[in-house]
Amino acid sequence: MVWLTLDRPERLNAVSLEMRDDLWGALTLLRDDPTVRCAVIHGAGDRAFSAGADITEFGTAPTILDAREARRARDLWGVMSTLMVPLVAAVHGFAYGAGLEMSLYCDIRIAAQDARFALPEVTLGYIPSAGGTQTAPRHLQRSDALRLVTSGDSLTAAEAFEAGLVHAVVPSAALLDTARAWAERIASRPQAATRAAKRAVIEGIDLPLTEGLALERRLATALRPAS
Amino acid sequence: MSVTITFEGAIAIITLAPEGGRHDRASIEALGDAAVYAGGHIDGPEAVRAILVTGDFGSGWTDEALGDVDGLPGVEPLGAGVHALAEAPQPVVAAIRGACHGPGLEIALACDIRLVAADATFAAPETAAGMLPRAGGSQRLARAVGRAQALRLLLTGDVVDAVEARRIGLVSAVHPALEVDGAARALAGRIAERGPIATRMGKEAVHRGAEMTLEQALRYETDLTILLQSTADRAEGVRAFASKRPPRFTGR
Repeated sequence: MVWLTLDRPERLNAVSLEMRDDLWGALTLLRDDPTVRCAVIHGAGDRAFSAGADITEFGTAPTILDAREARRARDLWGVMSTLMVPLVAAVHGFAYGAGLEMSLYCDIRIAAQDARFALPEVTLGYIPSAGGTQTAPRHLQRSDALRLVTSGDSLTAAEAFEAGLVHAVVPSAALLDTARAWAERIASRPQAATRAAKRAVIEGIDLPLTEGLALERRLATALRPAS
Repeated sequence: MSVTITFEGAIAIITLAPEGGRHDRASIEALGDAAVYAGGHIDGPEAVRAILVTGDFGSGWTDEALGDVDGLPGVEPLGAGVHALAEAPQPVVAAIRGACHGPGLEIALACDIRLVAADATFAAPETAAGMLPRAGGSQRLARAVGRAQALRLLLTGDVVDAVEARRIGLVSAVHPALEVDGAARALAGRIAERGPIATRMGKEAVHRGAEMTLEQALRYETDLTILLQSTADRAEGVRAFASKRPPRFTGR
């Protein structure tokens, strides 16, 4: 089991360029390490999982075409969205913008009672850009996803549970232990099977059903014990 | 008038009042005209930044409309006005009270965010009459609530109340009957204060991206993000944040 800590508590774990590079390194390690069975992502400090992108660094690319190239060349969220290692997010405090979006690439989301979720980008004249406009409607019903994306309104932990955004809400003091228990349960299962199950769901849901069934058949066949 | 449109600041308010709660070709056409009118005002001093749909969503079609034949050359489909509402570029908030059945439900599904009164009820009664929804209901319902609940509503015609509608995710919040208009107006007001290009692109990204594979959808979101970086509003939003003042968006 691996713990990933977003560790800029003095900046509410805002996603800076440096944190993007570190995350890229950590996620590619996870991707390439066959011994990892499950990873938990959480935020350091008392106040936030992550408050979102570090806005002080906006506009540092020379041109918007350079910004597009940079995103394509080092596609952090592309790596996270295709990672076959099961991921658990342990969310406390603010999970805003890129913070919420990061948790939406996780398979299980556990929230502390003080957790708050929002996609506030439209309040500053832009849209979520770590996949939130695509991952939110894949986890939530359409009306709830559009409310988050177009209004910037925030959800409490209880509202997030009601909307189906998180799997459980627990007292803050129990957050990491609860996340550990979920991760250990996943890690205790045969690794090839949990990875194949994640892949079957995530890749299959975007395929026509007949192709999704073919994918499941291929993955299941590969898992069958040799006779 | 079965449909009226009024303006409060940057919010267009479309009020539905089908006669006897029954929609016909004329009432749906009037809805479409209002949606096209509001949707067309995205620029200038009278720009519409959010649309609120309220009033009586209705409990069904008139007998005459039920007998209407769709698909004749040169005749608009009966549901064309509902599709026009779904195509409005600005976010659309629905404030729903009372019966929201058949075409009423289809109008609600063409809105983006649904807030409802505690007395609201929802149903897709068409199959009981040997018919199908005619204004996108069989498609938008499954996209709004998923396959299991869409099939339950379409196959059984079950009437679900506001609490059940919240449980299955058909609506985003339940309010006391006297408060739902205010809550929806406030939500539309918050949306109208956001960057208007961003709220339109956010809406577009959600609806269009949902029809793509995740990989393609993420590229699409990135391209919309990059496009937004060329706007004055995005620069203003970041400047305002840095100087801790409210942004002044111009829609440019």
